[in-house]
Amino acid sequence: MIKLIHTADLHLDSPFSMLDLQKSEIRRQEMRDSFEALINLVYTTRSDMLLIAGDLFESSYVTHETLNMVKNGFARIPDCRIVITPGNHDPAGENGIYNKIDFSENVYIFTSEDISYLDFPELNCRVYGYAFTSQSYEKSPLCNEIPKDKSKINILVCHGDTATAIPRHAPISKNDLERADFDYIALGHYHNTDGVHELSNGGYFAYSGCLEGRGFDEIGEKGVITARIDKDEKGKTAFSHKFVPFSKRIYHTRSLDITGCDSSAAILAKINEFIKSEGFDDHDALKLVLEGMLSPSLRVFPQYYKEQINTLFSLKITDNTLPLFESAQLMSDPSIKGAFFDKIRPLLESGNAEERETAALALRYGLVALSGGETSDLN
Amino acid sequence: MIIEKIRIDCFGNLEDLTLELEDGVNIIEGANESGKSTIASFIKFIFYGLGTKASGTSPAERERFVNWHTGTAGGHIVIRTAEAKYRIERTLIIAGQRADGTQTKKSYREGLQIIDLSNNTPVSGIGSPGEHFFGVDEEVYSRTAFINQLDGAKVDGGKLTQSIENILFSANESVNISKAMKKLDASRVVLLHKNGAGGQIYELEEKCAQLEVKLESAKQTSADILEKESSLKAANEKRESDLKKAQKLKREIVSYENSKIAELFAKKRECLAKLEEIKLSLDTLRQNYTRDGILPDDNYVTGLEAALEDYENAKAQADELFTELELARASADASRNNTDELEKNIDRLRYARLSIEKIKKRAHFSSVISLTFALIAVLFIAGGLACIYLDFFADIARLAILASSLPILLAIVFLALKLGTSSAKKKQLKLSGASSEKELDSLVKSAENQSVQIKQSSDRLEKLTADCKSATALAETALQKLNEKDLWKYTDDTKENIRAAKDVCDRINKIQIEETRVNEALELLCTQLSPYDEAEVFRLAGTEEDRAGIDQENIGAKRREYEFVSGAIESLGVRIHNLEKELASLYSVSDNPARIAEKIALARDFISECTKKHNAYKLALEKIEEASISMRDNISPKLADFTSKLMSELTLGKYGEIGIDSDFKVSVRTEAGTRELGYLSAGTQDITYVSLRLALISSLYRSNTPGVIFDESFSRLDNTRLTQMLKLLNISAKNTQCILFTSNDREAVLMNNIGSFGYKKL
Repeated sequence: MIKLIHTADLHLDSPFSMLDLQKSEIRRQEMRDSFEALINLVYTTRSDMLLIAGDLFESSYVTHETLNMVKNGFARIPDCRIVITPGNHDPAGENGIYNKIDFSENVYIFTSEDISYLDFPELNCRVYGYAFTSQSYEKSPLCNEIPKDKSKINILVCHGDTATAIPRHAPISKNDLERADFDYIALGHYHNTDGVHELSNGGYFAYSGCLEGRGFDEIGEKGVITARIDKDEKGKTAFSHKFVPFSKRIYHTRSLDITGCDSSAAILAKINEFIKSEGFDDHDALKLVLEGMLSPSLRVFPQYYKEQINTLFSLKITDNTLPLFESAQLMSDPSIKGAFFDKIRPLLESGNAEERETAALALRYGLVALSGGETSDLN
Repeated sequence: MIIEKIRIDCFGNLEDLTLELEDGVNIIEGANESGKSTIASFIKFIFYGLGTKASGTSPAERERFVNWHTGTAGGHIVIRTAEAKYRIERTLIIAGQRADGTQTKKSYREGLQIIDLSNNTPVSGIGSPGEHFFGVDEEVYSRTAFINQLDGAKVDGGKLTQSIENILFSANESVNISKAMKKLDASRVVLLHKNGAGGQIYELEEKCAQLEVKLESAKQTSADILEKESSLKAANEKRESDLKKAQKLKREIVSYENSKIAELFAKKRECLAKLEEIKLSLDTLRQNYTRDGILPDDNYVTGLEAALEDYENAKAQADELFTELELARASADASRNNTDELEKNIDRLRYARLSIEKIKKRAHFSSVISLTFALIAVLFIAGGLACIYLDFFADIARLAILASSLPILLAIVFLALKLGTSSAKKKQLKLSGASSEKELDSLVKSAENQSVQIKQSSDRLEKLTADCKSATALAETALQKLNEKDLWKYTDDTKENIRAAKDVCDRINKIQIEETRVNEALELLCTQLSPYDEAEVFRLAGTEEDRAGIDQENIGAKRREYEFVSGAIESLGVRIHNLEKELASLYSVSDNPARIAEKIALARDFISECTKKHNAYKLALEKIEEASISMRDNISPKLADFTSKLMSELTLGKYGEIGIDSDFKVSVRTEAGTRELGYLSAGTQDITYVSLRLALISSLYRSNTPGVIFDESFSRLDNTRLTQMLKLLNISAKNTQCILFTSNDREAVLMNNIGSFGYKKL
């Protein structure tokens, strides 16, 4: 029986988006902590194998401190076989990141675009894989039959794209997965996991997703897949798995309708109420899109609301509201404000979101200026 | 809309005040601080409530007008519109005051009720009476229905135009559309200059560009650091390996070298031990062989030997001489007996010898003569033959030949003589007993010798006798000397003593030689070993195992190898030092590329936000411009028409046509033609301004038109201008209302001459 842990797409040292610099630094450290936690998990569970299906590093950003951390981490679990397939963000090759450091003996790295395997007779197991040697891999890696010893546990670890047919990132179709006929296919490339799927041949495949979300495009819980695979003398495979969450922070994207709020305080209160109702706390990073209709004269201060709320790890507020709430009065305003509103209103009702956003902002600015207010503090 | 009644229960410093107002002009006169402005604010309070925000240094209206004694502000007004009469009641109560008068956190409770007085029923669904009845918000109402002090000196054409435009467009006399647009434009320019070469967006783009360069540099630095760390690691590993190798070699070499030095130390110890042994031996020897305090040495032995030799020589010589003497005596005795015979023999032999000599002389002479004659004969013959042959004196020649027979004959004679000597000689030899002359000579010599010998023997005997005597004396002297020298009585035998002494001396000398040799060796060793500490050397020499791989044959190669490896270590050290320096330099300038990328992302995000704002400003400016043009085109004729009617009525047609263009330039048609407003008198300008204000109100308020409130507006006008103004108000207030607050009675006095009005004195 093999106990393995499947992970991918750590993208160590990649920049964090949508955070201030201090938070980014915290996340960078947390990413390192997650890596250490992964090593500890391997150690405490006495896993036989750690499969890293690509993009362990962000090659163009990786620092020597990170390389040493990874190297030392791997060295601390000498009894675990660490198998790595380089992905499009950390391709193998002469100038690749994997050539710049000497890993310990328990680390195995595929270096060729052609599929090869590693034999672990003590585990009755073969691990197959291939490597990205550049940022693109424009052929289907599993289009040809791969001869196997069926008496062994056959695992494929690879970086590939099962969702799109665009040949840039090793496109793999469902048929390819079926035809490949592996006991387990450990995939990497997509940062979200949708669980482990069974194939018609009795094998399984999964994207582990990334270890930690790095932006609001990587929402939800992140972690690793742990699995046990066994094969009896008749070649029948037994497979069990579990998802182990890892992420210290979870990214969320939500919309909040603040129609009818008549003051900044009301908006702030509504945001606070929403956060509380969703149960978000300092483990969460939230991108909140304010939507709905507000009074044209009501100014929205996303930055101010963000600064007033310190219960979350990170909060980004985007204003998508339209200044059309109870706008009848403005429509009937005989002054220049009414005339100005009249000119802008068609754009507020445009089908183009960007046009609407610009028009809403223009309306607010115009109204402030026409009210004698200072527009300099709008910047 | 007409305000019929104002009832102040409690507002600011006013309490329990009721004012009944008329249609048309109402003058409320009161001294300063009597509450005139407070009444005006009360009217606004009823329609719109009290503001919650402070303005500049002024506290919020709530704070100003809520009575702190009672903690309330309240009252009502009664209004009359075209449809009905209403009573509007409003209260504002501060909550949070304890019974003991101490304060908790303040909170306000507002109460509003609008009663339709036609049926005394509350009117619901009205949040703001002002917006309901007038159709404008509080800002528009405040800006338009309230007219403050007119400054006659400033009401000129340009200002008037501007003022009208401001009120019309923004309902705020002080808000200038162009100023508003300038503000917007200024804010836009802050984001991006018109030439695109300045502003926040431009600066951010520049910053992004710089950060991009920095990012590339950071990536390169990071890559360089990785490469150099890898090189450093390899160099360190190589150096470690070389160091171990060098240490091993060094250990072997040091062990080997020190083992050699250790051998020297061992030898030194041996030398010292040997010296001890030698000393002991000498002491023992001396002890054993000292007799009577005398220990023989070389000088002693040499002296004794010399003395013994002298003695023995002398004795031997004496003995020899005695022996010789004896022999000589015996010989002399024997010789004495044979002397006579011998003398005779000698004579005989000598005589024979002489005879033979003589015979030989004769023979020789004969031989010579014979030869001479023979030769002469030959000459004669030869000569003669030659002359005959040559036919030269041939006769003489023949004579000569004949003559030659004489010499030939003589030669034969002498030859015969010579031959005869031979037998004589033989005879003599026989007599002498010799077979030959040689033998004869030898016999002669022998006999002579014998004779000499006998003589010599005698002489010798004498000499020998003297010599024996002398030798005996010498021997005795030598013996005495020998006895004097023979002090070391090892035995009684001097020779044995000498032998023993020599033996002792030899032994001592050998030991001393050995001692000297050992001392020399020790001195040399001490000189060689002086730089070394023995314990340290033995420690460094280690064990055989330490120098197992090294020997005399390969020590050179080991040393060369050590030198080579040491050189390599030094080179590696330099390389490592340089790499560390380079890395230190790189570390000091290195920056995390991800951080820089995040800064770029944040900057780009900010650029995006600023760009949206910039686009919004542009759009706002564009649309305000469009709205302004539209408004101008729509409003100007209306304003001109309204103002013209008022002015015409007031001036009895003198200024019946007012022109207001799209730029709100006001012109007036006079008899003399069309004039700009600035050409008119100050008073005419005043009334034109107020007419325009009233025209604006009529344009702005789409539902009920409020009564215009003048608060101390005319204090700077002279009576003539004030009269004009009051006339205007009288006309314009038909079917509507205006309220004048004043602190003096001028308005009332002048109004009396104009028309009916409402008057209240506070």
